[in-house]
Amino acid sequence: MNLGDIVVGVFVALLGLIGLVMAAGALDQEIYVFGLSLVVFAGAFDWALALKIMRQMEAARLEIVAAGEGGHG
Amino acid sequence: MKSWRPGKVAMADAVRAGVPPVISYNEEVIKKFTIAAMFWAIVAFSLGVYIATELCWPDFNLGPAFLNFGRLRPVHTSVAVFAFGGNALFASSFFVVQRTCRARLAGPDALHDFIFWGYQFFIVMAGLSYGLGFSRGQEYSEPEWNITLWLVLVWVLYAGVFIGTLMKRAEPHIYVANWFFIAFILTVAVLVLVNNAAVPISPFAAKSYVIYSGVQNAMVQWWYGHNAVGFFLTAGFLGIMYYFIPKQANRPVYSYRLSVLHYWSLIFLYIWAGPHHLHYTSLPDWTQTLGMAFSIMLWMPSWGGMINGLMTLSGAWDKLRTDPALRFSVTAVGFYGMSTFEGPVMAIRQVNSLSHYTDWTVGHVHSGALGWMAFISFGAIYYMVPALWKRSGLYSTRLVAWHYWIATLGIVFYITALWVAGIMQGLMWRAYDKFGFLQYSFAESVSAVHPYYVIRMIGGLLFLTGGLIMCYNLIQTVRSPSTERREAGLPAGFAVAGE
Amino acid sequence: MFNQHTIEKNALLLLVFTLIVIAIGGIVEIVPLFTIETTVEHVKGVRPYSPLEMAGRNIYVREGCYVCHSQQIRTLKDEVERYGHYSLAAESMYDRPFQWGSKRIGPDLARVGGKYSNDWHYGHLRHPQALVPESLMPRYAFLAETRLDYNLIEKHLTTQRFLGVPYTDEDIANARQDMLAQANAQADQAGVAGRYPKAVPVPGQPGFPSEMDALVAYLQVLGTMVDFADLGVEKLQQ
Repeated sequence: MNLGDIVVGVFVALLGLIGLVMAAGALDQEIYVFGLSLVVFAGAFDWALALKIMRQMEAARLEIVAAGEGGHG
Repeated sequence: MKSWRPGKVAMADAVRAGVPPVISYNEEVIKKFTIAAMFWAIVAFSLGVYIATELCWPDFNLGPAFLNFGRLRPVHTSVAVFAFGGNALFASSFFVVQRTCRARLAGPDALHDFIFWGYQFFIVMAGLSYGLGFSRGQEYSEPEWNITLWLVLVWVLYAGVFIGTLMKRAEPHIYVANWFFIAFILTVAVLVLVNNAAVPISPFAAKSYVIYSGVQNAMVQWWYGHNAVGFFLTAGFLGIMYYFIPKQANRPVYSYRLSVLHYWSLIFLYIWAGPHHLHYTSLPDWTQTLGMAFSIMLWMPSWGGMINGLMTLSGAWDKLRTDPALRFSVTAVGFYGMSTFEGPVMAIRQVNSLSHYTDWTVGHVHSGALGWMAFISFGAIYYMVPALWKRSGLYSTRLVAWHYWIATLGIVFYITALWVAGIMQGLMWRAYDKFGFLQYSFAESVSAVHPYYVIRMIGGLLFLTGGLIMCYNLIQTVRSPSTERREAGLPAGFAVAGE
Repeated sequence: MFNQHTIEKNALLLLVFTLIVIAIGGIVEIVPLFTIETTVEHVKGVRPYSPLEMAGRNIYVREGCYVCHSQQIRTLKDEVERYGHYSLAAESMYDRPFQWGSKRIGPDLARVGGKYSNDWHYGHLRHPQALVPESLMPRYAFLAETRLDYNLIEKHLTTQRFLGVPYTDEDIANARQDMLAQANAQADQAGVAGRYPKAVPVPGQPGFPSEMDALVAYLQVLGTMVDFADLGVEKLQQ
């Protein structure tokens, strides 16, 4: 697990939060569309990032398992 | 610094040491930027053809406000410059900086992904907002404050990653292409921050008012506008030229001293040229004169750069026959030379009195945008795709040749039609009859250029056709079994570093 | 330090020198425009836009009219004869953004105010080719059917005042009322005319101020504010 990736993920989540606030208070269509799009953007980005990190963790776990088996065999 | 061939030093060191330098570059993000560049290229060309059709037959403004010429033209220009050009620059700058520094991009991969998706988000939001009817009303700088802030965020991160990669480089020298990328990244940041300074009417409303008004606003805008050309569309793409032409021709850059001279004089002189967009206007005369003088001086470094690019081929001119992708890069430099000669001529006040406000300007911009910016990008992308996707070569060099000739013909149609149209408009507007009255009404000048507008539209259509051929060729390059690499065994980073 | 071999081995030096080199030209050309007093001539008559004109101006910006129409008459004989007195810097001193334009697919509009009747503008915006067969302009009939959104009009005025446009408290307090009055030629125009001399009332439907009303009010004031009859050449020196 890469700490940098987590920091980026949290940062993007905060941006999504700003989008939510903007959409909620929007006085015109543009800010509304922009805010909502930002929420969707942040959600999709973090979702993909989470999947990637989980895949990496899974791969690392399998490697450890494989290395362990190799050692005993 | 005798050896001025990117990557050569690294290779030599590695071979001497007997071990291949295994550097894993972040190529995934470059692939994404390359795909995005091609996608947006097709969008930009299609929009261009559509709005050119609107100018031929206004009934093609079908009714909905967002399809009107006035709202679509900013979408066309933004997508062409920032989406197509921008993504091509991101892709190539990340490609070049990793290889010439022998270092992986600085920062976590997620950050690079954010820069990619964040930039696409900027483009989509900008285009959408013009369609919805939100625009700052300043050319090439139309996105409202919220979208501008987003761009600034993405841009600062991009600058951080690029400069961070330079900092951790394993090569002692910073390669010349990277100087130009630095000027591009830095200056675009300064330009956007100054030109877009505005106060929104509310934090929850998109409408804002720019802090400058009238004449000062005009000067700041064209300082921005001309240097968007100078640093986005020129310095950035010169970075592409200084890496990819030597690579494609397999020759070192013609002259190191000329590169140094080219860099410093170009970035110093370009920034002054803006007022030539405002000749004979209410801008004070002293500013106009400065703008004109520096525009003419700018001709010299521009041609110095062109010579440096073209002469890199000396001894390898035969490659033009066998490598049509190199033909794109070299023709691009030719168009660069032509546009940077035409530009100073048009910046002379007396010439400008005829050319300004006419289609000559539009033709000039497109000889730069299609001939220089698009062609040099095509050349780089044709080079990068097989390298990035680890293919043995392009799917079809014949298709590249077809693309080349169709696109070149398209440009020729486009710019010659608009030369004629523009000079005709200029002459008709100032023509007097024998009684001393203006000879033509404005409307007469509009109907007179109709045939040339049709030719321009056909030129654009040809250019779009070439772009579609390129897309097909690239997709096949990635997917077709015929381009699969047979030799294996080298680590990924090494295989590409040695290209 | 000023040696290229040193600079190109040090990313920060390269960065700093590049920044200095690109800053010079912009500073020399831009800063004096704010400090030299004669950059904007002192002429009488130029006033901030009335609320309806400002709304119309924002529609002009929104629809991208500036991509086909300039608002800048150059100091050339044929332009002055075709369009009128050459543009003064003072005439766009309240323009945010400036709309001088860069391309004339249609004619210059810097002095279009008063050249045509209100009715002509309404008809032309709805269907340009009906009045000018050669025209390439899109139809803007939808503006007549779109109700003008003026909910935030006070915010527009206060933001501009913050940037230096001399709107008074009275102007801001009366913004809504002035807007509705100017968009209805039948209404009492005394308030609007007092605060915004030469403002042109437009014949909108009472109770339904449309975007087209605002746009026409804006077009009708373009280039009409300065009275050139009492201006000497020496006053126009920049």
